[in-house]
Formats: sequence, structure tokens, C-alpha cells
Amino acid sequence: MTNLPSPTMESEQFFDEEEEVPLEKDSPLHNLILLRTLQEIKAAVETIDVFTVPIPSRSANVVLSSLRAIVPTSLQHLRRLVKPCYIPDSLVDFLAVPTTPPEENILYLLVCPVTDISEENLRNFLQELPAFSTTGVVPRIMTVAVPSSQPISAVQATEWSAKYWPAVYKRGNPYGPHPSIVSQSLRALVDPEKHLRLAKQVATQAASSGEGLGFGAVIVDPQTGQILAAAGDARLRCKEKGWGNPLDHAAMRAIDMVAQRRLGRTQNVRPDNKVEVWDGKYLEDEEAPAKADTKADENSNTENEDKDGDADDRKDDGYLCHNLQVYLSHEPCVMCSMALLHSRVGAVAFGTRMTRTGALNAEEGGRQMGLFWRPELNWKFVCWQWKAEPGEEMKSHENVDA
Amino acid sequence: MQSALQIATSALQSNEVPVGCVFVHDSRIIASGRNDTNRSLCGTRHAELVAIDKILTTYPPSIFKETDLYVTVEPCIMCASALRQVGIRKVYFGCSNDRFGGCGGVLKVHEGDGTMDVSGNKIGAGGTGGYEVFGGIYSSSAVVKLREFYVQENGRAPVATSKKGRELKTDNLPVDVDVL
Repeated sequence: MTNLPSPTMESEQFFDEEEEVPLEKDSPLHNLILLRTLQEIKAAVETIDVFTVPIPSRSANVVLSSLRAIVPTSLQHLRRLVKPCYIPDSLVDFLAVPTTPPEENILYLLVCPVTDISEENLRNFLQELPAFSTTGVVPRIMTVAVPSSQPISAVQATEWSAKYWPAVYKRGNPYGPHPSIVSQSLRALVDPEKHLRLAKQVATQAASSGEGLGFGAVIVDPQTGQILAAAGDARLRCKEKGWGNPLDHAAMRAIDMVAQRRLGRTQNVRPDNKVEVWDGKYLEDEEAPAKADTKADENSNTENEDKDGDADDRKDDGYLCHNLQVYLSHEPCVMCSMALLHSRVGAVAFGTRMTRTGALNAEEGGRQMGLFWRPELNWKFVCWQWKAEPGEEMKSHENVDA
Repeated sequence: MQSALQIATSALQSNEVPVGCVFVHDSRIIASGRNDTNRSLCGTRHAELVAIDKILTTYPPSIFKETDLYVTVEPCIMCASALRQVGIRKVYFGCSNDRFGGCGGVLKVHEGDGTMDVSGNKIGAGGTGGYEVFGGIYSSSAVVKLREFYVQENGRAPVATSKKGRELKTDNLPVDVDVL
């Protein structure tokens, strides 16, 4: 397979072939459902018709090397030669070969996609080969549908082997994050349960303050464990003029806050009066959402969070929101999803899926945009949805862009 | 569009990605904006969003339905969505943006339900509220400005790749923007 999307540059360090350590049984990380990328979803359902032909096993190598001259080698994720006992149950009857001569062992050869050669040409070619010409047996060419893309996990390879054709899983994932990136990113998440709860609290505060809709965002620096921003939606916050800014979404505001921190200034940051839009205040003294944040912190966590300094604990300035973790009460809209991508965030977990407006989820039943991991865009991040416990679900304003 | 190009030039002089825009209401420029991501350390401070913020300090959001945007580079996916959410009337742009364009470059956020990709694969549920887009206006001037920027170094990027081999190309690209 060519044209594979390259994993993000930083990820390369994760490419050692470590054994996967399973999560502990009661780990809260089990609540995080990894989002599949658009390409992964496509790869999981697309099949292609291929020719298969039973051949005497002793001539297998000769047949294979002769074929190389007339058809290109492809479909390397599928076994080329398969013993009858490994043929999936669903194909056994279809592929059954009249046993002539009965003492002969046969193998099923996966020839090539039906588009590579006509059945007639293939039959003529095979008949000329000694494997068939010496016995006079007519090659029994059959067409089966097999997955056109390589499997993205061992589990999927096993499923496909039982359903379509024996498949090979080569540890790797050309259609999305490499399994080791996923596992490393998952373990690197700083208390996702707490931060998602915080995002929801901020969302609730935003709604009850009347300044915004019930959406919230929290940005955490994995290097220090510090919360860099917690912002509620503020699109209804009216200035003296009497209207709000319809683009003051939670994620946009949180990204702004991180920038403000990085600038290390409390006011008058923008020549365009942007200060007025969100008051130029930091997390610590932002009105409603900030109080919720500080409170939540005191309640739930006593160990780290140095909340009184404006400066980050980390020594370098950071670049945009490079590799930061983002926790959102709801799946973000196109604008916010792309803003996260432009900001180079490392990982995103959200609570409620927004089927009408959300731009991250690529599964059916929504907009299927999968913006978090698309080969044509210049940044990608790993994304999860937090599985809400019964009673934990948030109200979702389903037609609104979160 | 020439005003927008001038603004892009001023962005270039301030070490910003040279993208400029003006919002026009009743034949009058009500706001201009230029990229401000490097100075603000904020990846969302694109020209369009900067100008939208300015407009909203003076005008209510309802003004956008009678306002047109002129921008030197096709709005990115984020801005294309923002423009749709504020309800812009029309968008005129210079060069297309095949890396993150949201008005045809990568996605078509401005039309239909906003989920279509360039090859026209339409997926997802329906929606309303798109806007008209006209591309390719002074396209080559806009492209050359971008090239002038990208031969410079971005000191703030984490891993700077060597730009030694880069040179300023001034030949015109074939204009392959569909005038929609």
C-alpha cells in the first residue's frame, strides 16, 4: 500500500516494538472509546473481488513465480497460499474442489484482483503450466470478495480470517494512529475523568450564568499536569452594545486563554479589542467558569495544581497548544475542531457526541468528518469519546455548533 | 481585493503569514484583518476571525447577512465554518488553499451540509445556511506573497526544518480554482 499518511513527527519515538501491557481491569481509561479515523472506517468495509484457484501444493512455488510475470503482486495483507483447512467456513462449500486425483494435496492460491487480468487469460496461462498441463485438469478459477485494505489490528485480522480470507496483521496502521501511539497517548492522559468532569462543570456554569450555552473546554499540559485553561461557552455574553459573539465557543476561548498565558500579559493583548471579548482575564480570575474550576480542583484533587502563579511551570514557552491535552464536554464543531488542529493539540477527549454539528467523529450517524485524523491535513491527534455512565449524559442542543 | 492584498503585505512585514481580508457592507469596508497567529501565539488568529471580532465590537451579528468578505487566500476549514456560523453573504478569495481550504481546497464547508470533500464525496446529514464563494481573484499576487513568507524562517516553530534549499519562485501557477 502506498501513500500512507505519515504519523505525526513526534510519534516516531513510539515506534519500538514493545509488548502491549493491557490496562488494569478497573482503570477509568476503559471509559474512553477511541475514535476510528475516516480511513479506518473505510478500510474496514471495502472489499475487492479477487481470483482464487486451487493448485497442487507441490507445484505451488512454480505457479507463484510464473504468475509474477503476468500479474503484479498486490494484497500483501492476505495469505497468498491457503490450506483448505484455513478457508473460512462461509467459503468452504463454494470453493469445494472435486477430488481428482484424490491423493493430491491442494492449496488455494489467491491470484490477484479481477481487474488485473481477465479470467480467460488467466485460465489459458495456468493451463500451459506443468502443474495443470501434465494432468489435464482444467484450472477451477473462482471469484471471492476480500478486504481491499490491510487490517489495522490483530483483532480485525482474526475477524477477517474467519470471514473473508486468512489475513496478516503487520503491526502498524496506515489509516490512523499506530497502536503504540494510541496506547502511549492514552496512558499519558492526565486524569481524564477529573478533567472531563471539570469541562462539564464549566459547561453547566456557562449555561446557568446565561452567558453561553452548556459547553465547556479544559486544556491540560501533560508535561506539568497543570490546567492551562478552563472555559465555558460565552456566545451569549452581551457587551454594552447588546449582543454577543457567536464564535465565542468553549474550545476557541480555551485556546485563546493558553495563548494569553503564554504571552504572559494580563491585558491589552490585541490591537483589535479582542480583550473586550473575553475580558483579558486568566483562568484564575475569570468569572463564573473559573470559580467552578478552582472549586472543582480543591474538591477533587489535592496533590498538584499550582493555581496561584500566572506562569507555566514548564521551562520552554511551548508552541501554540503543541501536544497539549484537551477535554471537552461536547464534540466540537468544524470551526473548533480545526482550531484544535491549527493549535497542534496532542489528544482530545470529549463527552457528548454532537451528531448534527460535531466534526471529529467519523462514524455513521453523524457528519462523518473525522477531522482529527485526515491524511490531507498537516496535523493529526488521537481522539476519544468518554462513555457516560447512566445519568451522567449532558444536554446536547443537537442542532447547535459546540 | 487590492485593499486585502495591501493588508497581507503589512502582515508579511510583521512576520505573519501574509493573509489579509476586508469585510464590505454597502460598498464600504467595515473591517479589515490580517493574520496574527505569530504575535498572539494563538493558532486561531486568522485574518477573518480577527476582523469578525472587530466588526462585533461595533455591529450586531446580523450585519453579516448583508456583508461580503474579500480575502487574499481561500478561508481555511476553521474560518469557513466560522463564516458560515456568523452567516456571511458572499466570499471572494485570491488563491486557493489546498492544505486546509474550507471553500473547496480540502473541504467544502461553505455549501450543502458542509461535509463534502474535494472529490465530491458527500457524506453525512443535510443542512442549510451555506454561502456563495468566488475564487481566483488576483490569485498569483496572493500566492507570491505566501512564497515570500515561506522562504523566511519561523523562529517559533518547535523543530525548524532547514530552509536553505528554498527559493522564491515568482512564476505564476496555473489558476485551477473553480469559479463557483
